[in-house]
Amino acid sequence: MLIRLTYLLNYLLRRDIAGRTLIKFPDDIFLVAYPGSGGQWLRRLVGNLIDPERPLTEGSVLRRIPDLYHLARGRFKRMPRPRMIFSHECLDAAGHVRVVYLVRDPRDVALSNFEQRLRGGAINAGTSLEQFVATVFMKTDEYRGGWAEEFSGAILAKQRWQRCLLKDDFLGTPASWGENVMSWLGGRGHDSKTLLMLRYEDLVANPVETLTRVSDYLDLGVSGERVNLAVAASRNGGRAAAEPEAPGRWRTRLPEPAVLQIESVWGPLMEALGYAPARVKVSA
Amino acid sequence: MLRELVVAARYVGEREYPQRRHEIWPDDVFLVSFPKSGNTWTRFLVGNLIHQDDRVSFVNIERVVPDIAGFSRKEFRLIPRPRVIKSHDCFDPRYRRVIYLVRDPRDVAVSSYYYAKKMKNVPESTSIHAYITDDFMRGGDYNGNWAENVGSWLINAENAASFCLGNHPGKHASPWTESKLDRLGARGHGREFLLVRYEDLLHDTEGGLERIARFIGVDPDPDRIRRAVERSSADRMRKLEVAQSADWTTTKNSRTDIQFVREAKSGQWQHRLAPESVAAIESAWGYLMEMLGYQSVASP
Repeated sequence: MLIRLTYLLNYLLRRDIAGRTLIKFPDDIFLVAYPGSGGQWLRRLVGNLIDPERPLTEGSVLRRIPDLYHLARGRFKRMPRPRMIFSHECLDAAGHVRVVYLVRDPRDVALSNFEQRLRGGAINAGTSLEQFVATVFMKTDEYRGGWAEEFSGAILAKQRWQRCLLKDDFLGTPASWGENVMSWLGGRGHDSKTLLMLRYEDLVANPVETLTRVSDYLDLGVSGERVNLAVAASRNGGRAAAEPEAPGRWRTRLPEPAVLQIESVWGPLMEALGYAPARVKVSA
Repeated sequence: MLRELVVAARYVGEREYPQRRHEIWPDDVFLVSFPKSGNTWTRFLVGNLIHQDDRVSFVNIERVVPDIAGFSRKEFRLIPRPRVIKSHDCFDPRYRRVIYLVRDPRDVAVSSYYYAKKMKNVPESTSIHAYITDDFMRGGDYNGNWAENVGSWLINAENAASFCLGNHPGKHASPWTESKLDRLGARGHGREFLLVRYEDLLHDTEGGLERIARFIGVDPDPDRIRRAVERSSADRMRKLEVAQSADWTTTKNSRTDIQFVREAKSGQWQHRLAPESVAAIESAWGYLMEMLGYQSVASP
């Protein structure tokens, strides 16, 4: 009851977090990625592409390309337009006129997601990667209650306080990797105006070329030189975290049963996205 | 600020309309479709099938097969389970048991146009072609456009390649057969899925309702099905509409000179749509129509 009332107070002060229900404008630009897909790297690159003079820092990224899960509703309202917003949501048609969707090999996503949650304390330190994949990553049938916010350890750490900013139900749910990707691909795969689907692997291997596609799609009209600048600025964070994770880490890190499980559920989808299954044969 | 106070007051009394954030249960069955795809008729069929002693009408339809967008949190919680819930939402991972109703988008376009006029959502002077290109095919609305809504529900891991840009499923494959419908639908992930084409339901209503009955877990007794079909006929629905249109939330403030229950037929687009409207729809959504067996007529 106390939490509900505090939420209400926050709502009236516009300090609540709207999540998926945030009111959108038709000129909003969305960057969407499943958690663990390298969305932070995309966010940094695109942010630096728009404003290479002021390279994004961990602090400023939340102000300049805020995500749906951390910024107060009132702050979203005050943002200059067109706003650029980051999200983990499944297909949301409302107000999503321009979407850049980042997809990544689910075997690497599993690994990255696992490490991210371990760091944030969102899973038990004793959980093995294999257990995680079997019981969390591939657990695809129970989203009745809030786990969108569970991805971030930061929210978990101050859960009581954070709960006061949220309604007592969920913000939205990224669902499973496959469902998230397929909801966007199924809805907009053939519409190159409303969806630009990028692969994380291409963003790492050919950042300039891939970022040029983003610039063309969003009609940013930036020069090739500025694209180069943005890539350089993103890399020159001066810390290890500024380098994107190398693709293919799953080959040495992901246990065999986990690979098998992921591939047996999503094999043909992975194939279609260019992530050839290693253990499961996909018939054409 | 006033709006926020109203929302807050509603929230305290659990009178807000959470829609996608409603509490839902594993035994809920969702009757999902893009608007104007025969959803209301199917609601009548299902309602009359489940409630044999209580004839479905526009007065009680919201209670019998409730609309997820039409209830406050409190009201929604009070609906007895198991529930069959009507929804126009794009893919929602929380729906575990889904009946997806799909209809030829060219007919959906015709029906949407008259509905938009009935609801006074477009100026009287708007031509059907302008409506189709500027409203109907445009995205950005909550329910998505036809292709977004349908595609988000029909993709699965096996057929995903057909949804990637540049892949047109029918181009090099074998000719379309009814059995290809079995490849469609957001199955997997513990989800039960039943795809129903409106056209098939029109052609063989009893057969279609029998499939629906089995899916929901209702006894598919032939007499029971026949009775439900009779009680949901277009004639009866038209009569009910005349008597009750002012009482039903959907039609309450709409124009009465345009009927909600219209032709109840398929293929109306052939004499209602201009070739350029047909071409616009087919060139944007032909890949999806192809998967569903809705043959394109305009040249590619």
